[in-house]
Amino acid sequence: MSELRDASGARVKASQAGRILLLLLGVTVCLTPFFISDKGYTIRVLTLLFLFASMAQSWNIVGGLANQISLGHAAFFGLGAYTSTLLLIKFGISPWLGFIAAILVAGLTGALLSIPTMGLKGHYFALATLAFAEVLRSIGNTWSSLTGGPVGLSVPFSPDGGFALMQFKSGIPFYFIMLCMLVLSSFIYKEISQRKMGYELRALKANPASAQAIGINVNRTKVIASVISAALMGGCGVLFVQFNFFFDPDSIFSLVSISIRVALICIIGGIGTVWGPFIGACFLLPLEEVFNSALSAKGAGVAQLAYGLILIVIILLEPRGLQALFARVIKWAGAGK
Amino acid sequence: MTPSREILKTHSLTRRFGGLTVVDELDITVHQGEIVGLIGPNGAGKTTLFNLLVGLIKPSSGEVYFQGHDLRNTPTYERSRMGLVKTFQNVALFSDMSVIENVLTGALQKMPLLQAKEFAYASLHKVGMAHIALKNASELTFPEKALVELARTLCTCPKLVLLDEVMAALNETEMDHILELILKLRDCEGLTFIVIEHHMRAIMNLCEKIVAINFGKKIAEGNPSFISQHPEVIAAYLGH
Repeated sequence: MSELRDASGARVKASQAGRILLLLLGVTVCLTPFFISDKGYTIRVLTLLFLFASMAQSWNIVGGLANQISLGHAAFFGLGAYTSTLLLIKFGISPWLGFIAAILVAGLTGALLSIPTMGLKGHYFALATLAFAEVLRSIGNTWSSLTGGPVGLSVPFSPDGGFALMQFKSGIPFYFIMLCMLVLSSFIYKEISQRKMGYELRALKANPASAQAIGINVNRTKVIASVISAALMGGCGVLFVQFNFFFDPDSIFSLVSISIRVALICIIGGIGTVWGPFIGACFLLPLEEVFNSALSAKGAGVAQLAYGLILIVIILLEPRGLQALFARVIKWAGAGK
Repeated sequence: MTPSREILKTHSLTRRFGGLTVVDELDITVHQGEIVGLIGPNGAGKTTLFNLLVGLIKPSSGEVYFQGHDLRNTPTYERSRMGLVKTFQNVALFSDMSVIENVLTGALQKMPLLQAKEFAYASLHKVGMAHIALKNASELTFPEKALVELARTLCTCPKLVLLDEVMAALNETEMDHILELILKLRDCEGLTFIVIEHHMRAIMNLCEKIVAINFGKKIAEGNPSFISQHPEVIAAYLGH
């Protein structure tokens, strides 16, 4: 019994320390944009970092909790982007309303895709989702009358667009919009993981047969998780195009730079943990930037090779990702004292 | 004693895998409050029968009725919610969850989170495993796992529990505790059990009725002393 009490005492201390750290992190993140150039390179990288962390967090809901490794999340990202942009171009509808429409379209597509794929396991699921995003990419490239084809779509620029059109002269608003998206997706992830649905997802991931035997409707749970994950991803797509002003099918439905990247951020950071996507994004995105600028002159592929090697080393050191690696280092440092 | 209601009934239940008939035209009736033993040599079809009853596999022909309902279109999770639950032969805990989380997941199907937590702890107490509530499920010994799985099953508020060799790895004391628990659950909470067990002392002490099967067919049904002297049962076990 005393052991239990010690353990919970230690946990209280750890959670206090965690809260202080979280507060410090929050303050730093909120103040940073006011100390750097509001149109510069750094704020752009940080803004994209938050966006990719929220995309990875959306992916984490099915990838982390249910271990359904999707390699097609670009599908929902792209659908979100097309939905809001077409509504804006054709009907002049504000991207904020487009954001809601995108969430609905992506969520519905998530449901439709999860019905035929929910029986698939492991790599079969991964391949099916990958194929789905590739199909959308081809449609985007060929249905030119709607999507603009390979040329892509541009968000019409209005010099005085402002808040209603989600267009800003300064980089600061988007920095905070992406940050809000990250906080929102992380909040949703955490809420799900601590509630009935989170337990059900972890149960069906570990053992679908015994999950059913204790009364879990495995299929329904999977569909709901897919809908939430896809909807958040669709919302991220809207924010991305409004930030970037331009996209084409190959970039928005990209296997490598969206689908795999998002999964990778989550896996490297710590799959199935609330901090994993943020940690992964904080590590991977700056690393990509540094390697691309430092090594791209040394010959084609050198940057990617070095990048790949680092990822392999991390996964070999700790298959559960950086978050678990940090936890191990902290524990080891604590034991050394 | 007045004969109690039928809780489960199968009618010529059959399951074939390719050319092999694993469960062959079985008719079984279980009454409310009974503890029925299911015995038979390895490969007799006992676990397959359990999987047919809870709907994890579909019958090739024949029907299962639970409390009078035809279960042919009832998926496993709904059968569980109706009160028909099984444990797994090799124990199927959710491996990356703690013991209490495992049990809690069962309770969550019937009640909100806070209540489910209390219920889960009470259920762990019942099987004598409350002291390992915070351990991870993968760290447990086999007997501990079996008992935790039983606690998780009890958390779903079952009416008929199918126990697939829960006592396989238990020592005598642990087994006595579980036998006592099963009897108590029957007497105080009105649960009904079908028990697959190889341990003869356990099954003889526990069950009023035993069904012996071999090659998927019922070879005998009756009280323990009748079964233990039945020539076909003896032959099946000794391989004559």
